[in-house]
Formats: sequence, structure tokens, C-alpha cells
Amino acid sequence: MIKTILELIRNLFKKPMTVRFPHESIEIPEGFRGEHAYEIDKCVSCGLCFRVCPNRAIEMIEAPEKHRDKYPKTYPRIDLGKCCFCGFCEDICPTDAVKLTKNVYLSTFDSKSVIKEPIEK
Amino acid sequence: MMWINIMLIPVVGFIAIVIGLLYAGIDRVLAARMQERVGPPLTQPFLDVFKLMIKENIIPEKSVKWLFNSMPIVCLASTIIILFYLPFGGFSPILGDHGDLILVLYLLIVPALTLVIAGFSSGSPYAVVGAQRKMIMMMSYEFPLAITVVSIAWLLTVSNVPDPFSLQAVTGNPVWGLVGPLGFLGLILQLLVLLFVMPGELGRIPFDVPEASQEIAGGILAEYSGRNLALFYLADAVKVVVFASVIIALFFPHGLGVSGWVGVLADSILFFIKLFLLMFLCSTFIRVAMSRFRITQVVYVYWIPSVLVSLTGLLLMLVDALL
Amino acid sequence: MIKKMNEKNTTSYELLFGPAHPGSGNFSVRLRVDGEQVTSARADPGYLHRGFEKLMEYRDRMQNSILSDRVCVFEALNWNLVHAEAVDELTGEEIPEKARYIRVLMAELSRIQSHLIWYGATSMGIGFDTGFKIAFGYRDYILDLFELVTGGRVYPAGYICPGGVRRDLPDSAKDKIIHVLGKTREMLRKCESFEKTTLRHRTKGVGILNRGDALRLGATGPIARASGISSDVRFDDPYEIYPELDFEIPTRDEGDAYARCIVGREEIQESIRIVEQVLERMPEKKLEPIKPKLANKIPEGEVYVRNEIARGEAGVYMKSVGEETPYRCKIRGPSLLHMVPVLEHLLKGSQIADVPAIYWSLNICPADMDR
Repeated sequence: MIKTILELIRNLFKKPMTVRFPHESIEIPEGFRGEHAYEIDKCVSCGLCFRVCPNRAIEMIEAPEKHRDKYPKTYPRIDLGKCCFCGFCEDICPTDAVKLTKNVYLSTFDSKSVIKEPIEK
Repeated sequence: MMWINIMLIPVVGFIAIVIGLLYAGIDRVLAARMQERVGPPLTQPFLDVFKLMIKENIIPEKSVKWLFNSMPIVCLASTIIILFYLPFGGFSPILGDHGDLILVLYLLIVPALTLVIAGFSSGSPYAVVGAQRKMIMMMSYEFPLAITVVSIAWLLTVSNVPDPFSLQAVTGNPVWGLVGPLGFLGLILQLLVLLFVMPGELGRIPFDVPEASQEIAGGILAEYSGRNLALFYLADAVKVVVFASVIIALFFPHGLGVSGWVGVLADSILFFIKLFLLMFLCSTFIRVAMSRFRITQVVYVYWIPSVLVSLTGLLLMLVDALL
Repeated sequence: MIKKMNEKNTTSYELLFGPAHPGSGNFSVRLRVDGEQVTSARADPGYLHRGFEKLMEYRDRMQNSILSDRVCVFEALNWNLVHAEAVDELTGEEIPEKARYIRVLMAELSRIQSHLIWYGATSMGIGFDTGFKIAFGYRDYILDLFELVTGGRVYPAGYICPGGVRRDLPDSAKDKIIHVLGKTREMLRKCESFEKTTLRHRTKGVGILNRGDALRLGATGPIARASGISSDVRFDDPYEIYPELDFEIPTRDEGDAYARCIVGREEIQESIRIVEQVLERMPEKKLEPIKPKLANKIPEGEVYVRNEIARGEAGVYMKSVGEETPYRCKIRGPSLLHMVPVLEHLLKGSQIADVPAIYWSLNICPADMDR
């Protein structure tokens, strides 16, 4: 009984474990598997990421009409809604074109922003 | 004078609700700190009530609809009514001339009773179990509460205070000054029992068996939503103020003794400090320090140790008066 | 009138404990209740079925190790280890020394984390809010470690994969682990301080599972150990580097919910000891990260691997016919036997108030039961 009371009073004057999330947040360490960063100029269109993706979140698509001269091959389109952030695409990519960043703030009201196109339209 | 009192009634009701919700906010922050959390902002209970008010009010098909809908209103109204018989802040009771301690004792049962009826009328097995538990609990905690109140009234009678059951008499003559050392000890025991009855009356964690969310999914309030739930929530917030005021009126009616409106203001502030301390001790602290009792344990705790302690207190006061 | 009511027996009714209930997970128990007394209980599993066994037949070994995370949310790393061991046994690959140490390190941290959830959930079940909040708060320190090492807080994404581990420990990990172990010790001290006013009077003598019933109903892990059966796969059928480590298996004879809580707490202590030993002996040299490969065939054969995870004995049966994907993969979760026969046996004759205490003291996870 006394132990409980002492413990609680000690807690009362301690710094809390939690933080007020939207205003402050804990630091995310290096190597976190967050949102993808894709560089189309490094990409060699090998399609390995498409084949290794366990959730089939990556689809190889052609570039839009106006960019087709510069980028004639197929490029990965990533559906973040299907992605499980395993990082296999990063691991298997021979040219480091796909990388996972530390960005975790992926919640959105716009269903279109979930799909990451290889080239901005 | 009568007119002023009638005018004051809505004002006091409103103030009680605001203070009750504010204390609910403080309670949540302090509880969070004791659990090593940051906790919600102070305004959270207000936001909760506001949100519940604009949400859909679902009435289950199997319920007794008129009872189901009227019980939250009766609960809130009856809780606020008790406040008019109690000294609130630096003011004397608004309806103090019309009722006494016995009436308050009976009125304290009404909110609990409305909860029982609400539980039975909602037609859900969870609510029925909750209502049964609440009834058993009421039967348990009323007896030690009654012993305490009666012993104080008895003490006033022995001390030749006229009209011992009226609240003016109780607040006008602080009980601590009327007893010797043995009686003092007896009074402390009575106070302890009353402090232990308070979480039961409020339905806070060691005694929240009727609402035990992990066992019977919210119990009495399982079927309530929207406006009806908001009214119960408000009644719960006011109940804290009411019951703390009862304890303050019985045991700590002391003011600062300054006259004029400064005195009234100072007494009000002192009253709120007392209210806050009582609430912290009986509601917040016990809530975070203990786990829920079983209903059998609740009955045991109130009938055996509490009754024994309060009877011992009464006995000590008797001996003290005879000596 | 009274006679009529008695005939109908209106006091007996059915109460659903779950699936949409604050005291249960994605799991349902149908209770037949007479007043406050539970006369019979029937477990109703299947709300969390995701079909892993079938999904695994269509994915290769690395992809399966990601799936194995999700068998049980709270013990992703332990399930990773079971799956990885099954594949390793089929391929017969040599695992680097350091990878073995890291595997055990992460599995034990995961066990501590899972036991903290156990404590938190039991506290929640008996209405002790502080225990619930504090346990989950301290669990977050361990999740911070997972985030640093594996790159994800809850899902390590197959960190322990066939052939070793996906990446080496970061340099800062060792100091951080020691810091977190200190925090866990603090948490244990808190549990002990809170015990008298909370756990003891609600769980002592509640849900007694005696030794014979524990054997008959197939209880494993801490549930069996709390009933006096000293069985632990880490000791009986050692895997990884467990034979080299020095640890004890806490057992209790009472078999009630309180004994189970105590066993869980003592196991945290033992896990802390194991983690310290592993950190001491860990080889220094750098580890090559394991990258996913395509067209990586699993040799023909079948294997059953069992491991001790926090909730009991976990097993993976895997049959391969020489393709990339396994022909069949059967997952044996410890919770199924705890949740259906043991729970039904314990709930019969208990009070409604004890249902959540018994339910959570069994350390059950609907996820690994339904798969």
C-alpha cells in the first residue's frame, strides 16, 4: 500500500514518457523504412523491384505521353496503400534508384496521393 | 428573498456543471501524470460533452423508450437539486430552510437509482448485469454513510445545538470543536469511512463494478450514446462536486471568518481548494492506485470493515460524550 | 407468477464476451450466465483469419519471412525466427556466428516486450489502468530499439530471415540496449510495488489450472510452467545458441492467474540475463547484410521446427518439393490450445468479474490462433 503511494507520487513529479504528438515527436533513427524516394534517372527499368515485391504494390508502367521521348521504357509505380514497407525493393535495386526515407507521415484524405507515379504529370 | 433564490437556481446549476467538468479535466491530467503520461488538455471534458451532444442518439429497439430517454434528465436534475440544499462556496444553502441532512441523504440515492432504472430499461444483458451490481452496491454503501451522518447529528444533539439535522446547525458548529480526544479519534474514523464511501458513490475505479468496461462492456451505460450519454456524463461530473460538498459540510465547514464580499470570495476560494483536495484524494488517487473490486469484495469491504470502523468511531464518540 | 418465472429460469442468459468488447481481442467467448456465475463457456475463434498458410504457398522464402511477422503482431521477431529456422533446416545453410547472436538477442527482447503486453493486458482486465498504461509505455522503449535495429517499430519486415539477419546491428545499439534493460528493471520494480493493492486480490486463487489439466489440455510455455510443469523448448530441444547460455526456467505450482503473472515477471528477469550474456559474447566483426534473391529454390524435404516464444510453443511445419515456394506450410500457434480448451475449462464456474482476469492471464493472442 505504502509502496504504491510512494511510486505514484514519484511518478507525479517525473517527466512523462509520452510526448504531445503533433507538436513534438520522437526522433526517427537512420535506416527507418518509410516512404519511398525514387530517382527515375538512375533507374534501368530492370523490373526486379516489381518481381520481388511481396504485396505486388509495384507496377511497371510507361511514362506519360509527353515524357516518352526521354524515358522510353517502363518504370515502377508504387501503391503505398498496398506497400508493407519491407524494403526489398531498396535491397534488390542494382542502381539504388529506389530508397526508403524516414518520412512516416503518410496519412492522407486524398486517395490519389497514395499512388506514387514515377514521373509527375 | 424567495425570488432571488429562485433566480439563483439555474446559475448554481450552471456553475456546478462548469466546475464539475473542470475538475474532471484536472482529474484526467493528474491521473495521466501519475501514469507517466502527458494527458489530455484541461478542456477535454468540455470537448467530450460537446462532441457527444452533436452525435447521434441511438435508442435500442428492445428498450423501454420513455424510461430510457427520461432517466438521464432525471439523473442530472436530481444531482443538481442536492446542491441547493448544501452550502456551496461562501454562500449558505439556497433551499436550506426547506430541507435537512436526512433529505440530502435520501436525495443522494436518487442519481444511483436512476442509473439502475436506466440499466434495466435498456434491455441489454450487459446493462442488466450492471444494474444488478449497482443495486447491490447501493445497499452496501448506504449503511456506513448513514452511520456517519447520524453520529454527527447525535453529536450535535448532545452538544445542545438546536435543530441538529439542519445543515445550518451542522455548518455553523464545526464538529471538531465539540469533542474531546477520544471523540476526535472517532471523528477521524468516521471521516475515513466517508472518504471510502465517496468513490463507491461516484462509481470510480475500485468500485466501478456497475460500469466495468472490461467485464460487462460499460454495463449500465452500454446502450447509451449521444445526448443521453452526455447528460450522464454531466451528472457524473456534478456528482463529484455534490458529494465532496457533503463531506465538506459535515467535516470541514470552516471559513476564513472575514466579513463582507471579500469574505464570501475568500471562503469560495477556500471551498474550491478543499473540494479539489478531497477529489484528488478520493477520486483521482484511489483510481490510479487500485484495481477494480469484484462485486463480492465490494459488499465485503462496505459491510464488514467499513461498518466496523464507523461503529467503532461512533462508540468512541459515545464514550467521549459520557466522560 | 413466481412459479412461472422459476420454470423459465429467467436469471440465466447468454452474455457475449467479444468480439466487439473492450475486454477481449478479436475473439469471442459465449458465456452462459446465471446471475454473476458463469455456468458454461464456449470459445468462438476465427475472427482474425487471414490465411497465412495458403498465402505462404505462393511466396518465396524472403517474402514468406515478411508474412511470418504478421502471424502475431506482438511477437513478430519470434515468429520470424521460427520461420527462418524451418527454411534454414531445409537448405542446410551455415548461419554466421554473429547472426545467431543477433537472432537470440532480438528474440529475447521481443519476449520481454510481449511479456510487458501481458502484464499490461492483465492489468487492464482487472481494471488497473495505471499498470496498463505504464506497461505499454515501457514497451515503447523496446520498440525504439526495434526501430533502430530493424527499421520498423512493430513489424521488423523479416529482420530474422533465412540465412541470418537482414542487416547488422548499428554501432549505437549496444549502449541503447543496456539503457533499455535498465528501464525494464525499473518497470519490474514498479510492478512489484503495485502488486499488493492490485494484482494480488484480484488474481489469487482465480482460474486454477492444475498440473493434470494443464497436461491433458495441452498447455505450453508460461501457462504450463505456472502449473508446475517445467517445460521449455529453449532447454528441452535447444536451438540457436541457447545451449551456451546460462538461464533458469521459473516455475510455480499454484496454477492460478497470480502464479502466471509471477512466472511472466520472472521470465522477463531471465530474458534480461540472457540479453546481457549475448551482448557480452557477441562477436565484433561486421556482418554482411542479406539481400533478397529471385529464383532461390528451397531443396526438397520436410521439416518441423519448434521454438519457445513468449506465449508458449510455436511450430512451423514446412514441406518443399524443390520449388521456390514451399509446398505446404503449417503454423502451430501456442494460443489455440490456450484459448479454446484451457479457457473453456477455466471459465466454467467462475464469476463474470473474473472472466477478463482469466482471459488475459493466459497470455493469448487471437492473431496466432486464427493465422
